[in-house]
Amino acid sequence: MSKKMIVLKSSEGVSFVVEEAVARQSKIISFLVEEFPDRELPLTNMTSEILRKTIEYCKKHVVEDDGGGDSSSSSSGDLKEWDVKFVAEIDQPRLMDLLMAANYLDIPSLLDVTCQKVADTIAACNDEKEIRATFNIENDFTEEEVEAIRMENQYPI
Amino acid sequence: MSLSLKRKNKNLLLPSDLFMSNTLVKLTLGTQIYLDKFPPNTNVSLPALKSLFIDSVVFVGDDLCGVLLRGCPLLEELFVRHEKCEGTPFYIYNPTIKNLSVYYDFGLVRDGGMSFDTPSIVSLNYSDYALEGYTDLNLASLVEARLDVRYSKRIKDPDLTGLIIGISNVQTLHLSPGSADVIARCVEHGLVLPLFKNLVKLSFGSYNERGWKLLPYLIKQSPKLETLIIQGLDGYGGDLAIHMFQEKVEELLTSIHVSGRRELGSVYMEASTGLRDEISWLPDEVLGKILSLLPTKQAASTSVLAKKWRHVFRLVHTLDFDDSDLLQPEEGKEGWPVIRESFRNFVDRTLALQCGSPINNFSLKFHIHEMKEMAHVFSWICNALERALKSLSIDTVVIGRDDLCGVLLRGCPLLEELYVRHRKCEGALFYIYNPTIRKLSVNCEFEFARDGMSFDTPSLVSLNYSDYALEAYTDMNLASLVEARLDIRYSKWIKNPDLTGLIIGISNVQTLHLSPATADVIARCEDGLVLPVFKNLVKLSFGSFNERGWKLLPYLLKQSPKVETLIIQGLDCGYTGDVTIGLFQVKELHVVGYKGTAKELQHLKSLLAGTECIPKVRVEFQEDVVVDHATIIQTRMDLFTLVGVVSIDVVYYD
Repeated sequence: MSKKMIVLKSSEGVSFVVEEAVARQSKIISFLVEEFPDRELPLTNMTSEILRKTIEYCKKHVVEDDGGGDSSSSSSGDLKEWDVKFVAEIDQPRLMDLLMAANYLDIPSLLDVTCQKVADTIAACNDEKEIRATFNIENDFTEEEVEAIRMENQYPI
Repeated sequence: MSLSLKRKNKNLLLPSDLFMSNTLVKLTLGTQIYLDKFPPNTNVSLPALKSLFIDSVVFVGDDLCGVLLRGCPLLEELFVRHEKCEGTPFYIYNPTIKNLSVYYDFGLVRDGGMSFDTPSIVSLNYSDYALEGYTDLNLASLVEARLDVRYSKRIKDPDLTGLIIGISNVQTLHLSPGSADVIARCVEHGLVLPLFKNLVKLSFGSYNERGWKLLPYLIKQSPKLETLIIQGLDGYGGDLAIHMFQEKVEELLTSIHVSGRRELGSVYMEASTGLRDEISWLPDEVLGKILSLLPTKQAASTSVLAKKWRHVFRLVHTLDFDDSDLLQPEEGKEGWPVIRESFRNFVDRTLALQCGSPINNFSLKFHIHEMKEMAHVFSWICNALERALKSLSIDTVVIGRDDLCGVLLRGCPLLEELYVRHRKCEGALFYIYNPTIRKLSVNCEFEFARDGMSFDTPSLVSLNYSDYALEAYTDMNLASLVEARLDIRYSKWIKNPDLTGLIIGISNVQTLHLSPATADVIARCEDGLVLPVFKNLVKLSFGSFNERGWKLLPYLLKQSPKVETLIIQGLDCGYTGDVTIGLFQVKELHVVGYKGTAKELQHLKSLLAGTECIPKVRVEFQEDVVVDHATIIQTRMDLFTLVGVVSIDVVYYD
């Protein structure tokens, strides 16, 4: 039995043909596939690169249920390891784009794993100066303002 | 000709012939003009007037519509604005006006609500607090309506039925987020939306989940809808799906894309101006999600990063407060009360800052040093529980004996997980009862004899219980339990431990983990304790550090007819005795913490004596053991000769 394929189109107009079961991990695509069974779905806010990454993730996480019951393509422990490696290999700007793609397409597990990577990056910083440097955040506060907020909102030492 | 009168002083005297002009086309009156009651039979004659703007003009009685408007046969446009209740017209009727704008900005209950009897009206722009009644609405010609109706605490039961039915003929409808919220509130109280049979263009916004939930209903009642404009997508990240008819969906897609593109667009623009900020552009709810993955202490520190981050911290949905984070000077020394107070203030402020938005996890570790701190703890937990909390964790926290289950947890149907840890007897819980929790973890680390322990938790699925063995376990209700993990230790202070109630309570489980200490203490009870049949048990994890414990294992397996997986640890415990377990039913054996010594193999051999074949064996080496290729081959061979295994999995750490 041939699997049903659907077409996703990136912002550059590149078409990606994917198995429906793979793409359906996105709640948004799942919904759109039901509404437009035989149409190409334009994802105008996603570059080909990010869309390719997203599809790679979904392919790895697709649950094969045409075989014997609950067998997924990988065991959950291996899958976690794979996830960690998957996000570790992506540079920071692309990680953010991937995170937004997961948010937009509504793929909860991909959103979780990308958010976790960002949280780990923040957690690894010793102070807010390091966080600013890591993410190129421009400090638009005056020193007095920073002190005032610190007094008001900071954990006691 | 147009005339504009604006005056701050009261009682501006208007020339009486103002209202007798054959040429006046546009009249603006405002603000704070008080008009005396028009004398009876006043002649107003403004035959050319087309536009009338009234800003905070105080009319007496029905003078606006009944007297003034009556003399304006060509009036097309009426604008009324009021910030105070005084002199505000609540019944607007006129046969000719086409455009009506009403801006009222006071949330007072008004008798009789609001009426628009304006059969020629084409466009209505209505901004007000939601009232209790809308009557005498005649808006038969209405084409476009723009509603910004807000909810006021002072108006208890707003009822928009009349208004919504009145405008149901429109072709274009704009609903502000406030209106969506208040209509949704009315729907919750029984409002049935009419069919918007002419509606082709809907502009909809919402700032909360309630509002968004209205949208599918509204779309369902609007069969001709072609264009949907939505705003406020960042207000709620829920799972709402709008099912639309095919021809309409394209519009929806466009609008979602626009908002997404804008977010991405700002980044691309910044990219060309050198180093771009890589994180601050993320939507607030995503930043809130990221900060929720950090310890609260660190999440709070992000508020000084930049202005954009000032308020992101308040969006976290996981809070953990731990007073052992404080670099505490010794109790009683200088600075101690100040630091304690600043910690309390931090918790108070953080909870207040979030204004009751839902949180998922709340974790509190707090050593009570003064009685007055108990009130703080109580109010913090109370606050957390009121916010749709799913998981509560309290460590070292002292609250009144029955306050947690009897007061705080009562009425928290969403709570699923409870973690309790006590390091001192003071304030420890001995009776945990709750009808809804599914996951419970209790950890008591003090050795005093207590009356006993009770778990009356009928929905509980998973129990993790660590304690010293007590003399009684009563009122156990664990009917739904699937998994139990016990670490019960023997204390010489507790003379006659009796685990009967506990063991019978958990006897329905499918998975059971017994620590070595637990095996020892159950074996100690064995004189009087008759093990029940574990009729559902399929997976048993067992460890022991002494002979007494190992002797329990055959008995336990005998009482567990369905066990398929057995996990054992502690083979090197210093006992290589002659306990034999007939593993007839076991299909999978895991040995954890293996070191590969001859003693362990000997022990395993005696345990498995008489067992012919186990289909699957997994051996996990202890973390600190160096495992080389030869060790793996040796282990496989040892096990193969021992039990004729089909599949041997050897796991080790690099």
